[in-house]
Amino acid sequence: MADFRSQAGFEEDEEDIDISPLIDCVFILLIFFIVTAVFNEKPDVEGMEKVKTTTSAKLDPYSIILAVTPEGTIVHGKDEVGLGGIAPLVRRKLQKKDKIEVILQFDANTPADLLVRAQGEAVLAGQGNVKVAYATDAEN
Amino acid sequence: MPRFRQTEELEEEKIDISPLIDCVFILLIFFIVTTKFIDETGFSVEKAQAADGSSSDEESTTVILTVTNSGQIEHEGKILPLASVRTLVSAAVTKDEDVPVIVRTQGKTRAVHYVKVIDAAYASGAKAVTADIER
Repeated sequence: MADFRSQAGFEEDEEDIDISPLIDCVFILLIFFIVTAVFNEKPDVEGMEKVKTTTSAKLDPYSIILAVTPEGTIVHGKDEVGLGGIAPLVRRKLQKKDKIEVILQFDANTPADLLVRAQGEAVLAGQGNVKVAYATDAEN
Repeated sequence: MPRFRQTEELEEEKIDISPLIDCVFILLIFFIVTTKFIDETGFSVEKAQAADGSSSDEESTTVILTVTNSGQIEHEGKILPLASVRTLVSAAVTKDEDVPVIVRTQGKTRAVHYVKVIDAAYASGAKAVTADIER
């Protein structure tokens, strides 16, 4: 009888699943997501067809990213800011960082003068501390 | 009796880690949801300042390309194909490494035509390309 009881207790112990590999795995995932997290606003614009160019380098993901749409609107995050809204964005970011980069996303059909005007607004607001880049795709 | 007490003490030594795991899972879900993989490629372009936008301090070596509304490329009054822009800019770069290149747009040029010209200038060895709007 005593023998049977101890056996039952042994079986109960076996029912506990060893979750430490699971926790290891979750921790690794957690660290990965913390490291890769970029708290930055990506313009919420659908259907922008990027222009393909031969010269393109990787741009800093911690930049202000603006989308200049073919309809002539300028979008930051979820908001339509317009040309006048670029300067406040740049000035706010310059309070935290000395040198910033502004990335302009645009569609093939975006009017080029609007693109250059948006660039002008950012450069003027930044007073020499702003670099503007055009977002394009690599050709190959 | 003494044996029973011993096992009880042993069991007490195990720390209950389930709240920790709950916490870690919540953090994990938070970071999964908020993570955005921003992977932008492109090139940086200078902007003509109002102060030096006047033609007075532009050197004669400056390559000025104008992209018209229809997407044609003009250089000193002549219309060039995109391939000639490459030869033109590379010729200027061999003479002067830091030759300024200005790409101007007329009102309603499509960005694709405009940016292709800037790309061609960079691809031909220009160090800094300046964007401008034709007045």
